[in-house]
Amino acid sequence: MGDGLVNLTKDLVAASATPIILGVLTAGEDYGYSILRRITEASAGRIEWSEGMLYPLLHRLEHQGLITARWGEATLGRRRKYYSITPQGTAELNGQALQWRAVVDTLEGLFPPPIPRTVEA
Amino acid sequence: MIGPLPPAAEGLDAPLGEWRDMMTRRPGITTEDVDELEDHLLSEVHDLRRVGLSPEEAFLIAVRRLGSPSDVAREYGAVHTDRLWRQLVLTPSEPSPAGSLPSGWDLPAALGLGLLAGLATRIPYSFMDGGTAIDFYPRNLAFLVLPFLIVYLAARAQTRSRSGLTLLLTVFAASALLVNLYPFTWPHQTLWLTTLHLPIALASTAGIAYLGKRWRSLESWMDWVRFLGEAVIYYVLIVLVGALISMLIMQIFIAVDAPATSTVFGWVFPVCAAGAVLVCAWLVERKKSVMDNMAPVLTAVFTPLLTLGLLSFLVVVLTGGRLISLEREVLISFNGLLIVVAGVVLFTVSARRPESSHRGLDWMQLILVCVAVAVDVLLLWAMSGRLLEYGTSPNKLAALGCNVILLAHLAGSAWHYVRVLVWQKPGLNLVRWQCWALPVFGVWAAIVALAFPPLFGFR
Repeated sequence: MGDGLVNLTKDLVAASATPIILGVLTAGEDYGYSILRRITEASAGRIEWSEGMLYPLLHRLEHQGLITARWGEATLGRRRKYYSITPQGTAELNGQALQWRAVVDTLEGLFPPPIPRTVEA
Repeated sequence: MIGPLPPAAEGLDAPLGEWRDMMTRRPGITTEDVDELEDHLLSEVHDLRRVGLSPEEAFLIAVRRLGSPSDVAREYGAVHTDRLWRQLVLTPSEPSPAGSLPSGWDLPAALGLGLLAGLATRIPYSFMDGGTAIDFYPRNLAFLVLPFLIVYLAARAQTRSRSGLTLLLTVFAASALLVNLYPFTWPHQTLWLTTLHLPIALASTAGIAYLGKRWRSLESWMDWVRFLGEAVIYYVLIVLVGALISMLIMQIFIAVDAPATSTVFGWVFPVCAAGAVLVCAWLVERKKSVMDNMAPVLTAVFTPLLTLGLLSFLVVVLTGGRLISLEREVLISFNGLLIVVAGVVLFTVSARRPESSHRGLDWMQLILVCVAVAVDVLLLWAMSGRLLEYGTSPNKLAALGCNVILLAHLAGSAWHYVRVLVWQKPGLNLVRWQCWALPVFGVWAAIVALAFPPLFGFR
């Protein structure tokens, strides 16, 4: 499980949530629970959210027109809400990607090298 | 344990239902949101069961991972600020229990019955001259509106008690018959007492329709008290706003000298005033799940104000030393004020949660009640003075009786507050004591309305 769980600060979660969700949705239509699992996978288990918070956030993005939602059917016949990214969302993601790369590149050059971790049993 | 599993929801119907109820009641969350969250929950339960957890364990963990319901609800509310208000009007609150009106029919039923109540109130006027109307409406106003309210409440109620509704019907029919047979004569004191007290008595009895099968249990009458309190506040608000808006509209029409303005408004005002009763009934039920009730909040705000008002009255009267010479108008206004205090105590207790101890509010109430008891004793003293000096009259006796009941109610409340606050007894008896208030006041109102006229020769 990578480097274990990293507790992101509230501000960082808030700032990164939009690009993370949009990034997951570029791969295609998806529903809430699956989005969360793919975030966990993509972060190698280092980022975990309070799961209930995902849904209000999805609604906010829908309000902003970055994603759209539709009700569909799950495998077991339950109603399930699927989200997909809009062109406006893709544009937003590209913009955010530029900003985040700038931040990450800057930090890469400035941070001290990582302390070698003791091997976990 | 990997392999095909039965549907994740198997055996979880009860906890899932509870969880749904709990989430749906939160403001800002719609049933659609809960559907989505439920899908999430069940997906998670499904995955957790694959690693060998029991359905119950999986459910507990899934709920925990979803995060605190109030935090989630707050997030939803922050995204959809409009919902908190829209939800008030548009979405059905809870699925109606079997045997009652489907919740989609709530508003149409309330509006339809409201319109009928309005027309029932207005139409007789078209067939009367002024003299008959002034005799007809004081006797019958309650009978023109309340039956429609009762039909609505009975249709909305979860249960209906045949014996209770029969009793209700008998009470209404008998009092309508009596009141219309009474030969009221000048100076019409008893007629006005009846006009004032009959609606109170009948509105109290209407609780039978609201409570359904629970009407025999004293505790459940507190629900009717809550309902009435909220409804009265709504009615006052609606009437104030309605009066303001119609006055503005009427000004416009008068300004352009539109024909038949006064005739149209002569219909609109009474129909709306009567119909608003039904709309209030709908609003109270509708809003119950959305926000904290308004009456307790208002009462908490006004408790200090009332205490100050009554205290200063005590100081002025005691230092002035004019006990018996209190004017009639002063007595009437303070009588009204004491009724308000009794109402405030009643609503505060009705909203008091046994588990949460708002000691501050309880102490404030105790002080208010004690001051009110002192004022009431003073009023009773002054009233008996007037009674001895000027002789009895229906008005004086009605006021005296009302104050004796108020004194008993307030003194009992003070006693129970002391037990709760000083001796740390549970608040149950305090609540039980308040439960008696509405039936007792209702019966007294019925006595004044129906027994006083014959006792005093219909004068």
